[in-house]
Amino acid sequence: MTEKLILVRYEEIFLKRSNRNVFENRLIRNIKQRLDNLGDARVTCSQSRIYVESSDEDFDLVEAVDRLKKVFGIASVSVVSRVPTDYEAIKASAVGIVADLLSRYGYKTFKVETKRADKSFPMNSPQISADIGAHILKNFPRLKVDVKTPDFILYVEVRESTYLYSEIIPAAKGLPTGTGGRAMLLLSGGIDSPAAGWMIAKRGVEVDAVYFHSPPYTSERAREKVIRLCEILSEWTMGMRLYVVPFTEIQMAIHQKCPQEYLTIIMRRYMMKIAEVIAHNNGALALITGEAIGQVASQTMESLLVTNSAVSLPVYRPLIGMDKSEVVKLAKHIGTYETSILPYEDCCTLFVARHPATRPSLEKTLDYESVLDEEQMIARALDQAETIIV
Amino acid sequence: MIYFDNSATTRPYKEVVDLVAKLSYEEFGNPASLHSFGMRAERILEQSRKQLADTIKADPEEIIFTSGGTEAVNLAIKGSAEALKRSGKHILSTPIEHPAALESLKALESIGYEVEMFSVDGKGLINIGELKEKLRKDTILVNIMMVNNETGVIQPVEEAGHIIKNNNPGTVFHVDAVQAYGKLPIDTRRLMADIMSFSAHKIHGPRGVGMMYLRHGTRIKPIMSGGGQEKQYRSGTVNVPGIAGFACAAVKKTGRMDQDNRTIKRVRERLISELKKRMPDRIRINSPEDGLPGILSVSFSSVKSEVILHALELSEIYVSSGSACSAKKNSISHVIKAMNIPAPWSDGTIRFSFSGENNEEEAKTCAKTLEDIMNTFSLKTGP
Repeated sequence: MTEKLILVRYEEIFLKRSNRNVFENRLIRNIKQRLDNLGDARVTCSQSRIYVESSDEDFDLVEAVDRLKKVFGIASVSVVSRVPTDYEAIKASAVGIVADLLSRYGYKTFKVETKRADKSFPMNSPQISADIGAHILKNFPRLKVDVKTPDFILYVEVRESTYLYSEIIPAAKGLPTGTGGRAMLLLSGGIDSPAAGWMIAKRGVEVDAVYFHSPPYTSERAREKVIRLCEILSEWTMGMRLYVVPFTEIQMAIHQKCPQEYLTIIMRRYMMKIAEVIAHNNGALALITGEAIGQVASQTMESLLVTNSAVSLPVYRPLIGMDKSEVVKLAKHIGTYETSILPYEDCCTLFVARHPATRPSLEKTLDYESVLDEEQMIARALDQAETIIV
Repeated sequence: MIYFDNSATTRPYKEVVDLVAKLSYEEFGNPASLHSFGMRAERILEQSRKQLADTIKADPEEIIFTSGGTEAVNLAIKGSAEALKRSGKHILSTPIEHPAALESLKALESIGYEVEMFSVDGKGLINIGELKEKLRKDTILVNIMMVNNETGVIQPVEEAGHIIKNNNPGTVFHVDAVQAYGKLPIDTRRLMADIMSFSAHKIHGPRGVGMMYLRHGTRIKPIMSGGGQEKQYRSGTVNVPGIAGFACAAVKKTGRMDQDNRTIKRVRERLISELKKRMPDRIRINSPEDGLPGILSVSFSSVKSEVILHALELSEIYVSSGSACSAKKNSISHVIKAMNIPAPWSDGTIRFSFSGENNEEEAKTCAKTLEDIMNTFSLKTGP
């Protein structure tokens, strides 16, 4: 029976505060939750590192690593072998790891990197590296040492036990989910908003989402797509709540009663207002949108000012200074891109004026809005909102 | 639920589902196996082939089973073009074919074939005179669908067959009969098609089953490599239960064709008259009166088709739209475009397609719901 062991590293910079325990404990809890149905595993913390260990036959190491890569607060992970800090045992393990690597990859060069935390060990780091390197060369005569650009590095960490591994897999970074409060994301189904939600979630914030559904102008498939986006996001955010708010009545009223060039801006303000009420009821401390300056007419600085003044909660816009190509790259990294570009174009384009105002004035907006029965319409929309736990 | 989307697919007959389930479980032998259990499956297969051949007055030897209509059309077009490439590269087709045909033709075009389209009139009909003009010595294939899937227009395929065969007997004539089968009589002895394509699920049969009629002496090249089933034309383990289900559905559907057509005609006429009564100025009937009764294309003036479709689904009424509601240019269907239906009609096109399982009451409910939708969702512009 072989022991399965994953070394989880987090960035110590966050832990120099007095609330180090809070972060560590939350991270451990999140790791346990994410790995919950993979089989028996122990998650322990020692010397500022977390170890996930399992002797369960069915524990799927590859899947576990994949999931850990998406846990905020983790800087990197490695699948490691642990042996007693005994020189013969270390050498034997090193040979085993290299044999396994060579059976899978056509590696030709390598080097050994050693960290010695256990200063009582009789050799120093360079000595250990050189000696283990020589031992590997003796066992695998085709390999060569290359200290500059090796095909692989064998890492040896000498501590109370000794850990050997060959790969450091970068993970999500950020702060553990649940250490940063809660925020409400306005989710549209496009490329931007999921990326914006992810950026804030990365800072340890629990993110919930609100989606505005306008049947028959938007289809059931568009709604399904948003739910799917939430599922992808929740692989990072440890689950989320999605509020689906019916928006048809409001949209039609705006369309009928307000000037065409102000349709979008007034609609955005209603979305913000509704999201703010849900945020209040939900304990959320901010709204999140995927806006970036100048991307579309409703995202000019003038438009953002008008939209922003609809609410008093802070509005986080993490993509504000990003180019579309940068957002696309991020969405691909998160895994939402492929779903976001599914072609369920909805008929909300009917509500977009041919020439929307790019420099709307707040004064005019308030004036145009005043004909609408805001309180009633928002109350009805909230009343019919549906909550989906993703 | 009111299901007016029978050209997309139909509900399989109960006896078809039962038969497919029973054969899948009990007669699971591979008809290509040498043992007697495989032979039992082969017997069922050949019996089904005979039954299906009879429905179109063909010889069982002329039937090739496929995975469905799309595969049959692909095999017909690509397979005959490949087989005849030394005789010429010229192909004629209508522009209002199913994507299975249009995309196959596009693929041929990209490898050097010359594809020429007929024009169609406001009804979507081709002009026989034009066919005669365009037919050339090096025309290897003429492709015409018998009934258009969006409007129900019936092309003069019998006449076209005569013209083709009198002028250029070597030209292969392919008729896509997917929408026509079981709804119009098809007689391969009179219709001078060399190849025809059929699908099971459009006539209450199972999904994933289709067939190709290949007249004796017509040459095609297979497009799939494998074990050489179906006389080398279509490799792959033959789907015996599905094919038996197809035969069961075909026998029943062709047997009750007249009865179903009468029902369907009543439903269609009821829907048209209710719509004309309720909103005479806001509708435009795109389907020709002498088209297939089961397919009715209607354009609405003030609401986009996708909005109508989603609004109808809220009342559990299911239809198809002739265009997608997007800002993109190519959202209007190629059929509606080819027929030159003017805007805003073209943006509000809905296809209703009926089966013998529908009734007039459903047509009335549907018209009433449409009236409500027009009143609720036609967007009036603000000040």
